[in-house]
Amino acid sequence: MARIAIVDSQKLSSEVVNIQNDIKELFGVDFVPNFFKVLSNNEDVLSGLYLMNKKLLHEGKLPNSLKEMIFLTLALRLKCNYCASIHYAKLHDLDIGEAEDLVTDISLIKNLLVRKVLLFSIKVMESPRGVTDVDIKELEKVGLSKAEIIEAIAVASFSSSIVKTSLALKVQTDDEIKEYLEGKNIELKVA
Amino acid sequence: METYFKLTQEGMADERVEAMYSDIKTKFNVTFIPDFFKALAFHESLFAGIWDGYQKLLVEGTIPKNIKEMIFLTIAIHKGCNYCSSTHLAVCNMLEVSNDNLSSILKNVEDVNPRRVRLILEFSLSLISNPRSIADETYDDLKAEGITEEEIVDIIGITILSNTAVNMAQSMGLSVEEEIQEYLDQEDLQTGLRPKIAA
Repeated sequence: MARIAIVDSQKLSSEVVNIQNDIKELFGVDFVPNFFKVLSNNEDVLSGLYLMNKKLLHEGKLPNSLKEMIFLTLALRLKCNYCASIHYAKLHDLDIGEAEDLVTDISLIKNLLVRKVLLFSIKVMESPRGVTDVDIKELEKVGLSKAEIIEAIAVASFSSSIVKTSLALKVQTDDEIKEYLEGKNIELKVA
Repeated sequence: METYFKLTQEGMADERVEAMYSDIKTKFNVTFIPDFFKALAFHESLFAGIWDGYQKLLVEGTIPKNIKEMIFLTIAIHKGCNYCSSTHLAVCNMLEVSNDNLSSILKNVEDVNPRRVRLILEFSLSLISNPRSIADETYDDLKAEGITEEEIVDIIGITILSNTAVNMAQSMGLSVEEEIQEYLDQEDLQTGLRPKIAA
């Protein structure tokens, strides 16, 4: 049970229902994830976080799969079962084989660009003051543009903030995600 | 070097970014564009996403603006971001947050008054520093102070935005703007934090 009550779907305003529909479309799913159900208590917050999600995690220059990998990396690092389950399922659905290496050990990822971006994301989350122009140059060396690097910084900063909130709210894994993972015989070890 | 990313000055951005610049000055009631936004301006969709977040989570909502700014300052101080702390210290002062409360936020949030505001700031801080430590009682305490679930979600929204922005500003290595520094000097306020030296 989440810490904040989930509003009865019959009682939602039409504005909130519209944003929930946008969320389903953005994520390509037919259910509203529990995290967004909790946010539905406040229309401005639901709308703000939906828009940030859309423009930071689904638009821009870096591939969506890489943004999903950043989210999964940080969710695992913070041991958030809810977030890790959703983003692992998403990567599995996108058929991104690197997700398995990511769960086991990031250093197993063979693609240098992906590996460097994931390690950089951890640094952005854990010691942003420690990020220097040397880190930026390292990423440029593997082929990232400044726009892609600033996007990676934003994705890591936003994702880690969402993960921490999910932990605080003790959001329960959605039944749809559980069923998906069970159906594929996937057991994700997070803790 | 000011930051690892080029700052786009006003008048030098494309039309849509200039429109957002103008919107920022109106909604924040300032005469200059903060460097945080200037550093994002070369990436329009990212800039737009962050600005959407600011409007919905900071400018709008049910929790009063001065409490939202106190949350931003609390997180900036906790994370040791001199750039963000300076800006939000100045804004809190403009919104007439008392000197006693400003000093408590800089040194020890437990001393903030009244209790309702202290509980809100402690909740925000726990969200980003130790989210697992938040117990059912934390929510009960907030509700006992008359804070509704809608308002708790508002606090969560501003906390997510603050943590995202502070983390980004630190990673980008921003320095305090002259306008902010002059204001703080004139008001005899200081964050007590070291600036990050961009290598």
